[in-house]
Amino acid sequence: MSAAPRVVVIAVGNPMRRDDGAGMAVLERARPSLPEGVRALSCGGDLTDLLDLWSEADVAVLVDAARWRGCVPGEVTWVDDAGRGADRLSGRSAGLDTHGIGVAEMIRLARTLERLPARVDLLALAAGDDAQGEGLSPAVESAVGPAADLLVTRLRALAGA
Amino acid sequence: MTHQTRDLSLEALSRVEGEGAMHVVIDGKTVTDLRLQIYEPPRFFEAFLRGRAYTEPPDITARICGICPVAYQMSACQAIESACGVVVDEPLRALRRLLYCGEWIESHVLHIYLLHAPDFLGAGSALELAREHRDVVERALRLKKVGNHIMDVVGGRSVHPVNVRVGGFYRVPTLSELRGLLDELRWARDAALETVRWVSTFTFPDLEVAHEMVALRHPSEYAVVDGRVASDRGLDIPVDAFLDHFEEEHVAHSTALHAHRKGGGRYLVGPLARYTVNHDRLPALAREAAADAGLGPECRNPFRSIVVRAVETLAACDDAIGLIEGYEEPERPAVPVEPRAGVGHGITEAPRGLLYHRYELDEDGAVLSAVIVPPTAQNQDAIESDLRRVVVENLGLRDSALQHLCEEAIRNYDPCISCSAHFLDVTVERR
Repeated sequence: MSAAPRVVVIAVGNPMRRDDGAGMAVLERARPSLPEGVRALSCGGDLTDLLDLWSEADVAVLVDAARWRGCVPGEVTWVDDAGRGADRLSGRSAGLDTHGIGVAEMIRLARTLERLPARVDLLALAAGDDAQGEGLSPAVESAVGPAADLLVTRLRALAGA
Repeated sequence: MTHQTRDLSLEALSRVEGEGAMHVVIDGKTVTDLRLQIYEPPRFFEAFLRGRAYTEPPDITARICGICPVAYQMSACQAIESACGVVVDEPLRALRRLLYCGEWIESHVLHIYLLHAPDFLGAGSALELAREHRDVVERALRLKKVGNHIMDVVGGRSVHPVNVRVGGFYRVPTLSELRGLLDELRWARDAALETVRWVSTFTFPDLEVAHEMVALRHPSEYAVVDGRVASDRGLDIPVDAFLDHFEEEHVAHSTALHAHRKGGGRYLVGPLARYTVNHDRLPALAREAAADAGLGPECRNPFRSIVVRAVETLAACDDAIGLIEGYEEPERPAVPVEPRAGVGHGITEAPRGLLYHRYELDEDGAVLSAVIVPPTAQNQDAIESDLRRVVVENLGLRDSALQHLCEEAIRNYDPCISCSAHFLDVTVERR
């Protein structure tokens, strides 16, 4: 019998930029229900840290605020195997890029360096308000619960729980 | 009169940290307007801090930037300790400097290799650089990780350190924990030296700036955690006189305030200023490396800031090794700090330059007012000045090439408009 995959979930964002904190909020909501063995981490600044945060994982799930064409604030989408499909993600659609190198570019960089986990999924929440300050906009706040439920369900499947 | 507006914005600007916009109006052969718009977080934080306890600003202001949280923590601690009449013990000061070395290494290496070097190598991004020079990017990531490790061990974690408090630390590392960093730091020092050599081979556009260079200066160190405010034009003032000599003004096109010398005068903070003011304070190894890289005792070409950052990375690695080798575990992790009514000022050298904090406390230690002057606000006028020159001297370029050159000129300053978000739109109007 093969060992269970090592799964890490990483919230990306800055809670002091309103909806950019959506990823952190979702992970906190989901934390009590995370499957056993899933590591929960956060990345709030330099995204090159992702290379270390997922270095021992077979599967990484990123939870991030994002914008994409036609999205409505609070909309939730799951991108299966974003690592394989990273070329489809632009620097701005795959996460709000606050530090020079965005999530999509980091995924592509990690793939080039052969430092990408076997699978990277992305749970994205469409951001509305990225002004300075704490607290999510109402639309995004109302999406945190459903997004956390989706996260837990998918993580159970990915972790074989 | 014909009026043509072209939007030259977006994706290519991802290597500028944060959010901003540049608007240039060119009328014939004259730049009639050039505005760098920056949306900056400290203004929000100044209001956010009012009413908070005197123990809170280090943790709160650390959230301003995910790249340089230590700078915000250190300037905040120094200002509050000053207001409360406390000076930390020397071993605690040394630990703060060590923590700061970690941040300098992290921040400088990120900028040198992944944000700035692609400009000089004809690579569109760090990704392209990795494809062409994988070994170089691997070296960068390992070097940067050394900075992360220092932050982990001294600061409690590498992003937004949690171990810093007013008066010192919650817990000080053991000697063996710090010595565990030494082997990798010695590798890092060699790698940093190699980095200086590598960036010195780049071709740099000619641009010499006349801005007054302002930085902290310390009697014996390359100033980082404390010192007096000095310049290449003879300024030499204590930290608490900063606002007597510098002022900020609102400009319509930016939420950031523009800083000037009182009475007028543009000035510059950051690597070029530190190097120019403190060349004689660099460790011998770094000074020799700088000379071998073609730098004199001052550097006024912003495009060469990448070389200065490399020299400073080498200095930080060397400094960190010395601090660890000389480390004696402090008798106490923090000096007691009792609140009192008063005003305190703090200045430290963030990777991007001088970072000023001022707090006014009431007798219970509640923050009555806060002033934060970050390096990018101080440099904004200088960046605009450089951009104006770059545009004027390259009017014949097509818009796309001109845009790219402007981006490079902005990246020279590693502007920390980050945490304010996401992208920079450049608009050029030709009339």
